[in-house]
Parts: sequence; C-alpha cells; structure tokens
Amino acid sequence: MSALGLYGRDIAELLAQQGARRQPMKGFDDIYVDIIDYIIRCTHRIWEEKDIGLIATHYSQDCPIHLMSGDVAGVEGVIAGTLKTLNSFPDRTLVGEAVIWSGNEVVGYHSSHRITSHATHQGDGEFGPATGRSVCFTTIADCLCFENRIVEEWLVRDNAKIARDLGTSAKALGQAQAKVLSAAHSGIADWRAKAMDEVLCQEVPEFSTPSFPDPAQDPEEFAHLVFQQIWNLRRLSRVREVYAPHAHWAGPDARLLFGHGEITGWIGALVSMSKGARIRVDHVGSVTEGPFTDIAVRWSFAGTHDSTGLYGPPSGAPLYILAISHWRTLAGVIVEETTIFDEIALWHQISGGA
Amino acid sequence: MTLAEMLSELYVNEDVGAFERLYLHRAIRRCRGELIFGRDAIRQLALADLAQFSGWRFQINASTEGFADVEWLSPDNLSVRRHYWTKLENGRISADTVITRAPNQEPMRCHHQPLGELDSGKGQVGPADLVGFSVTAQSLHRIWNSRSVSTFRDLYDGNAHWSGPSLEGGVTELKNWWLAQFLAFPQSHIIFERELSFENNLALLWHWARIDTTGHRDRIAGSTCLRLDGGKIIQDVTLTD
Repeated sequence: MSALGLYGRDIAELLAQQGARRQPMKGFDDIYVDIIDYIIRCTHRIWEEKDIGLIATHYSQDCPIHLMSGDVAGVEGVIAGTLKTLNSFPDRTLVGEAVIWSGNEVVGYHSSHRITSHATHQGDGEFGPATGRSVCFTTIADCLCFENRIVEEWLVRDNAKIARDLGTSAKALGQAQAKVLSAAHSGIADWRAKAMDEVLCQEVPEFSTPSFPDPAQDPEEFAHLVFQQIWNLRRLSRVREVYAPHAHWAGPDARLLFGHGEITGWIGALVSMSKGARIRVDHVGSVTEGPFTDIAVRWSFAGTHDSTGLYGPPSGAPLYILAISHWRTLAGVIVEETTIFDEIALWHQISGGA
Repeated sequence: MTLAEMLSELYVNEDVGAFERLYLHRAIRRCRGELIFGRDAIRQLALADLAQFSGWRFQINASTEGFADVEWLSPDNLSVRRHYWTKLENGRISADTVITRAPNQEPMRCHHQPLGELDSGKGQVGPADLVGFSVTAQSLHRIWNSRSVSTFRDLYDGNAHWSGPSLEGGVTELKNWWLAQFLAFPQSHIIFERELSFENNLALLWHWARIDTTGHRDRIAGSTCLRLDGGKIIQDVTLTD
C-alpha cells in the first residue's frame, strides 16, 4: 500500500471521499487515507474552509517551525500566524502543485508540499496596510508528520514576489526590517549564528569526479552529489550533466531561467557573493509521478557576504539561506526545478539586520 | 478529446465551462516570459480572448496531440496567430506554452536581468551539434546558431512561403529577415525545447537568448510550424513572444 500521487488528479477528485486507507497511518484521523491526502485535505480545511481551530489537532503543542527569518514554536503561534495571514489575505487559495513524501508511520512521514497561492491584500498585516492588490506566490512547506500532527516544519515562502506584487521590493522591506532589528549592537541572532556554524563546520569535500546516479534509482545520492560537486566544489560545468539542455527553472521573486547557461549563471551569481560559502543538504525525499521522479531537497547556505554577486556589492554580513528545491527528473536529468527561499530575510541580513 | 477539439470547444462553442474537464486545477501556462498559475487564472485569459475576438473567425491551421497552430481573423482582415504547446496528465492539460503573434503587441516585461552565458560551456568552440532532434531541426540549428546562411538553399523549396514574427514572403524575405536578426543581435543562441512531427508537418518550440548591439539582453520563446514536401520546407510559420 502506498500513497496515491497528484499526477493527473484534479482538485475535485483529491477532495472527494477517498474510501479505504491506502497507507499505514497509526494515530491519524480516519478521514485521511494516505500522507498526500492528509497534506492536501488538511491544508484545504484549515486555510480555505477556515477551520483554523483544526490546527490544534494537527500540530504538536511545541512544534518548531523553521523560517529563514528565525524559528517560531508552538501550536498557539501557528494559529495566530494563520489568522494574521488570513486577515491580510482572506481569499487566499492554496493550489497544491506537488507533495513529495518519504518516511512511514513509525518514524513519521516527511512531506514537502509546494503550493502556489492567489490572494488579494485586503487587510493590514506583515506587508503593511491593505493595498487591494492581487498577489501570486509560491510556498514550500516541509513537514514531519506523526500521528496526525505536524511535529516539525520548515517553511519557505517567496516573500519577494509578494512584495513585488504589492508594489514594493524584497530589498526595501528587508532594509526596513534591518533598521528595526539591527545587528549593530548585539550581533546577529543566536539561532542564525548556530545555523551558520552547523553548515560551515562541514569538511570541504575533496576534489573528485564521481558519476551522477540516475535520480530515479538513487535520488538521495544524486541530490548530495549535485550539491557537493556543483555547489561546494564550484564545478559549475557539471550543471550540463544533471540538467536537461532545455530545463526550466523557477526561483525566488518569480525569477525564471531556461537552459544550462542561465542555471549555471544563477548558481554562480549566488555562490560568488561569498568566497567561503558552504552548502549543506538537510533532507531529500522523492516520489514517482507518472513518468517523472520528483525530488525534494531542503538545503542550507552559509557564508559571509564578502564579494559582489546576485545581491549587490559586499556588505560583510553573515549570510544564512534556508531553501527548498523541487526537481522534476526524467531520463536521468532534471527537466524542471522550483527553488524557493525568502529574499526579504536575505536582504534583512545583507542590510545589517540581526 | 484532441487539442483541436478542446480549442474548438473553447473558441467556437464558447464553452468556457469546459475548462473544468480540459485543464487540471493546478495547470501552469507559460506565456510572454511569465508563469500563469492555476486553471482559474488561465480561464481568465480565455475570457479575455473571447472578449477581444468577438466577431472574429477562429480557425485551426494545424494540430496534433500536444500542438496547435490557430488563428483569429477579424472582419477587416487582421490576424492574430497563436501556437499552443500542451502537456497532458490523464487526458487533461497540466501545462501549456502559448506564443502569440498579434499586431501592436507590447514588449515583454522582464523583472530580472538574465544571468549566465547564452551557449553554456562552449566558449569559442560552439555551437555543439544538436542532439535528439530531427535532421530538419539540425539544419535550422545550423542556420540559426552557426549562421550557416547557405543552408537556407538546401532546406527550403524555392517557392516556399514564410510567415515570420513581423514579415512574410518567400525564401528571400525569410533569409533577409534572419540576416537582419544576426546583425541586430551579434550574440544570440537558440535552444530547442520540443519537437513534434505529424502528417507532413514539423513543429518546434524554442527559446532565443540574445544580446543586441547596445548590450541589451533578453530571451524570448519562439515556435515554428513547418510543412514539408519531398524533404524540403514548403511553408514556415514562425511566431515569437
């Protein structure tokens, strides 16, 4: 028994009665038949049906939620955050584009849920006073789910795209946040220093030229080698081994890239802003969707902004990026990628924020 | 339901309700350098088409599973031509790419400076051979990317008709248009994304990255539908975003 994927399934089918349980799910509510159903259905119930109180039975009491702007913890915080977001964007729709899962009922299911949302900025909130503008943005939520509850979550949202849709920019909002919460007096936040240490303490991989495995056969090794070879060893030429020549790439602030040259250019521009930057793969999951193998990779980037790159001239700021990439692979190579991280949080760091 | 039947349902029968069974709720459209997310957003675009082309005649010039070349003709002979490239999951469209040629189209918006090089990793030895595409596509690759102007003669029938992004005519006009592009964009590289062969037709979806003489760089999507006879191209319809 296994979960039924999203391939070819419409929302009406996904939200219809699903019949018998398809996957062992000890402790999960009877309504859920597999982990994909749990993720899609509870997202709909909480966010679109507005059953916010359901969070109390779907998050553990002390659930940590890791964001690029810092951690929050606890079910009360999740409820408050959901209400605040819905106050700003009450008509938010959350279209599930992918649920890439791993694990089991014993150790917990890990899901990586990519959502693209449409909403109207109708209420005041974290993005300022209501503007009435429409926004469209992508979020990826990695959740560790155990006995009906999310017990840990890593959340990345394309906040830069929201900012742009609202008529401002990630840079402007990040700079404004940095003025309020500056690192000038007491240094950067402890959580950020700790997260950076954990990434930077990795040993530098030795130069080697391993072959990339077929991602359909060994997605975990494939993902680790991509980040070891291309990112940590700066072997950008190997982009041409792992991406199709006509690969599509979508990233923060709805940046769209196409083909080897542009993807190489983006990776190069990102790592060029920090000479000693290290990247660590934190989690890999994969599923088969029709002819494709979809892979979710959560990764962290740490370094010092000591060089000109994608985000302007060097600021000397310590940098930490929490990112999630979704790869669609076919015939041994990546044909589509979505990578999301919070560029407002990054501009906050670059601008001297704590 | 074939793509031609789908498009007829939408644009002849004006059955916008058919969207529910034609497109998946999470369908994505690529057009004019942007991603449009979701069936509802794509349906809005179809409604805009119906409003814009009210009273115009809709015709399908060529189609197969995954590709259609369609046209709207106004009572006073204006033409808006469009190529659809679709991907299906269980009979419903999960993604499409739409390239439209219309009079007085506004330039595309680009929010980000393009990154990287046009022809990856080739330096002074590019372009490489085109792998995984037909002989005809390889010849176009030689013309477009290697500037092999003499290949026009071998590839096109002398009486071929060409309908390009901004002009139309015969092989001479086609060649002159491409020569003008090579001069306007001293650095340019076209990457082929998809190819479909059906009856005597060959359709190609491609992306054109280029830098003009002032240093301005952009990338546009293009689509070409060819009709062949005896191994030569007798009709070329090329649209760009």
